[in-house]
Amino acid sequence: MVSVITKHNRQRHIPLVEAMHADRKRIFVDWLKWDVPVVDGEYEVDQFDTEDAIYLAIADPDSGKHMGSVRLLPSTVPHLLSEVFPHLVDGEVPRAPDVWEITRMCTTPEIARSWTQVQVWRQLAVALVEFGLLYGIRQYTLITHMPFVPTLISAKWNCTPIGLPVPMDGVDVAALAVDVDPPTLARMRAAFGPKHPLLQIDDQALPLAA
Amino acid sequence: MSILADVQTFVRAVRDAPDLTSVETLMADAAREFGFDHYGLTHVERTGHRAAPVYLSNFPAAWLDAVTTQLYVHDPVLVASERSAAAFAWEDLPAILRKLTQKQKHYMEEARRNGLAEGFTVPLHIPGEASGVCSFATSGNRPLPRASLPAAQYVSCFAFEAVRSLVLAAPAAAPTAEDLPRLTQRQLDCLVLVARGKTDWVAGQLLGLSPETVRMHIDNAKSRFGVTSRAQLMIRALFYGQLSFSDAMMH
Repeated sequence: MVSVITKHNRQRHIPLVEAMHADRKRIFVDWLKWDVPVVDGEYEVDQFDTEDAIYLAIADPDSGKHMGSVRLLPSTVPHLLSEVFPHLVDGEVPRAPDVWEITRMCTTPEIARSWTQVQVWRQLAVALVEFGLLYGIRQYTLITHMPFVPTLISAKWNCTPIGLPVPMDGVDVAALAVDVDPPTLARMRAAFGPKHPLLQIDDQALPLAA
Repeated sequence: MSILADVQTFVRAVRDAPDLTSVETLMADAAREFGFDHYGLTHVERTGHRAAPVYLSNFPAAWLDAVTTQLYVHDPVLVASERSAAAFAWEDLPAILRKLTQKQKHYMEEARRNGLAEGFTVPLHIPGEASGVCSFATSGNRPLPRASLPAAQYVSCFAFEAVRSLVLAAPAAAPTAEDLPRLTQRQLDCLVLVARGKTDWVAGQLLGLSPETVRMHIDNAKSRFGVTSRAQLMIRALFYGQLSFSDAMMH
């Protein structure tokens, strides 16, 4: 199952949220040597982990441990592509209510033996499309390093480059857009498994009408 | 049209390619359009799906003949693709591999002589599932089209995905384990040593066999694959995964 974590229900998911930030620190700071802020020496939290951010996170069904997660931001608020990497886009950064940004895609280094990193990542991809359909999202944007592109586009969703790769710290980095539509979800479910929804949205995830 | 628009057009076209022949045509066109003379693309499935490896290219015929003899084991581009996640120009091979062996240098000289002078290779890996390489090359004295290298990376990735989708969508077309000619352990022992350049006499010394017996095992292996030369035998054994590049290259 993939939990949807918003500002409204994060109190219910504190252990998972903490584990996600701790894994992000290990992956992005310790391994990939990104220059991003670390809180309490343990958690990676940056200026885009705001109240607007929504997280999709997978917990191990047996242990409850964090296995992988992504962060989503609407493109209408400041996000990584608009504020830090606009030069990766050829032309204007796509911004619209139905365009959201995927960042901090990660899978935890200690995955149970029955799962591979790519399998966890694929579950996140399916959940992203489910979430997109529920939230009226037409397109995601994301930034990736080029060696990950074969895995990224193997998820059976349609990706389109929105800028050419640019070298950054010795690796080529690029921005792509991912289309969200019902046929995509059908293709992914046919290719990767469960026919039932992966998303778990509790009754507090979405705000009640004020 | 901008380079990005050309890439986007290619991405859409290759996604809808109905068969591998269409991918070949699109790749040949893309190579030319982006200022290269040739392309070569491989795909090897590692998920246990019984798909034969795919090799698409419009490399010169003389070069393909040369690599299907015994040159291929000295191909430094394949070795560098295992070591580097990032795309690289062939001129950077000495830096990636620290130093080219004499045989690897010879291989690259032969490639140049056969119309593959400068090149750019994109390693393609889906961890635990599939891998491959895509190379673009220029011939004669033509330099690499530097401005096209970012585009070439995208073209490689999306062509690889198109090939993989086609291969995985056609399980019936792939040979099953039962269809493949299998070699005996003794035949494989002899084959590995011959692939490493040992003579029948040396292979026999190492295995405790007479040179005639080594020759007999190799001949029997050839007839199992229905081929007549040792070079053909090596290629078949590599193609069907009964012999690996690392078997053949270990010293």
